[in-house]
Amino acid sequence: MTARRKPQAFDAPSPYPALSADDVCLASGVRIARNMAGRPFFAGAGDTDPDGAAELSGLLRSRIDKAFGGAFSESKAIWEYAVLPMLVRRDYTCPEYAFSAGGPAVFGEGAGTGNYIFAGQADQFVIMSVAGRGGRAGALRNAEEMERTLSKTVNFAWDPDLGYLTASPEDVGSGTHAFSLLHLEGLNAIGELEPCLRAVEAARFYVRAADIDGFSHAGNVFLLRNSRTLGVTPREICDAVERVTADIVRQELNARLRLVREMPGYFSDSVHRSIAVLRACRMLEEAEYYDLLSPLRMASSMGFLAAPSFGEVSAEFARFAPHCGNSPDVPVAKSDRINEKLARAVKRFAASLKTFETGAFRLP
Amino acid sequence: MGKLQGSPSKCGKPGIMVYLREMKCELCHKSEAEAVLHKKENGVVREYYVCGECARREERARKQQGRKRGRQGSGVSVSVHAIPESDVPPPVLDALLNATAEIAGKIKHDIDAATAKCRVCGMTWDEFSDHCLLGCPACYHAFKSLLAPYLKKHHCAVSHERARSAPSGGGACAALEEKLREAVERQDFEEAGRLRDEIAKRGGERKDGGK
Repeated sequence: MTARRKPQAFDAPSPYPALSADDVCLASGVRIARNMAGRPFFAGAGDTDPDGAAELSGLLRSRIDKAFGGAFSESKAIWEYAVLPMLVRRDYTCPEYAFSAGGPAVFGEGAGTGNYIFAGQADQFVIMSVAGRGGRAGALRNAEEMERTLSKTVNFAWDPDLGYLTASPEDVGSGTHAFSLLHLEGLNAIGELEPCLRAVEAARFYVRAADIDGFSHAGNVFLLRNSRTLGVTPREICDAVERVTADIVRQELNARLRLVREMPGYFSDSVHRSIAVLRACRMLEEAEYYDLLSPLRMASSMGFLAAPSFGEVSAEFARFAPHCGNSPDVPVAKSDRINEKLARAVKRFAASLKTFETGAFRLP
Repeated sequence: MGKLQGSPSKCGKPGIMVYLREMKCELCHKSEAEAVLHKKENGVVREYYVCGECARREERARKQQGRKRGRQGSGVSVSVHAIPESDVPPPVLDALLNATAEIAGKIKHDIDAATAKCRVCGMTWDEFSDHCLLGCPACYHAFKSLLAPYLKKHHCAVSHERARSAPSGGGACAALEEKLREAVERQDFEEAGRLRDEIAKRGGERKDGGK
């Protein structure tokens, strides 16, 4: 590992055209937390009064159906996949990590993009709009539109001093979080990840690794969101997150460029090592799989991995985020039946790597 | 001896400032003491805390007497200087006052925390502390004083002033308000009036819907 250097400003336009901001920012979106006036939050309703929680959940569902005229099919999908288990297990899970049939909601890849209403977590309604990469303004419009539609049948809990009241005081005020999902493999490779994240946190933004515990940062995928919600408008929140996201993306692109210029051997080694492990391994965990896919995705995005294509690697990366629902603690054998979904995916992906082609890991 | 000099911003302790204000000039008993006057009377040096005017007057008198009598035979000598730093209360007193205030605040906080309970959902502050999740909207009122430092630390604010005009369905209203602000800024009062009416109309609709 080379000595750390002060991050350089990324020269625009990029001297290496294959570097794209879209490859770093996986998804962006907005979530709005709301509760019904005069009703307990789910945090206070479920533990001691399961009947009350069930009644409340029925009420929420009827309000959603009434507001959207039964046409909001996405909300039903989320209801089936995310809400009911939460009501049973009382787990608090970030809605960004809840998943729909097509993969984690937060990944703006195909089925993950769209509008959702999560009902029945700590807050009664979490209205979320996920845009595929950099469409946050549209996501805010969609989320506000959904909120306005829902407000026809729901009187939201609101206070003249505090704004919208939420179960967690961290969300009170506007109740709005804007978020970005970022793949920061380059910063990690050159050893600049920690200083970058510390600087972001010092600016009162929240960064969480995109895995179940939020600390092991498998795959170097991070969720960035605002920390402040009180005393700021949703538009200000979105603008602030947009600015910070742009800064981090610039740092990441700069790091990738430095990686190729200064450490091509290290970069090449990590890619070939990943390919070798995926082709030869017999035991694999989801988080490890994710870690192995990460350098492949970066190499593919920069044109160093001709086959499999960037689309294939990226889709696999989005599909197998460690928070997809399978327990991260279960070791997975490729031939075992413990996690057949992962075993099938690894086998399929490893097969595609048999004909892999890599470039020279040098800038043109 | 109390601190006789120093601005409130430097001192910053209300208790001490009250004490300062009570230190009047020992000669005129009107103005605030600003300087120390050493007066030698019949071989005995006495110390007076005096205001600036009295200090200047004594200084002039001393000079006049010195010129008239060549500083001999008066039996009185005067020297005026600023109050020395040694007369400032020792730091330990400040620290003690601070610590007392902190302890009193903490005791009050602990008492509030132990007794605070939401009347609507029955949640206590201890329960909130375990999960950092409140039970119902009324909890915000029940734990108002206890939540204030938490909100200030996390959000750097204790109120959401901008939300006051957007009670629900804030998306559209917020957008209209944004347009209203812009219209006022460019002095387009016709448009501003139309937007104001629209916001009022939507607010009225929501109120009716709520009922």
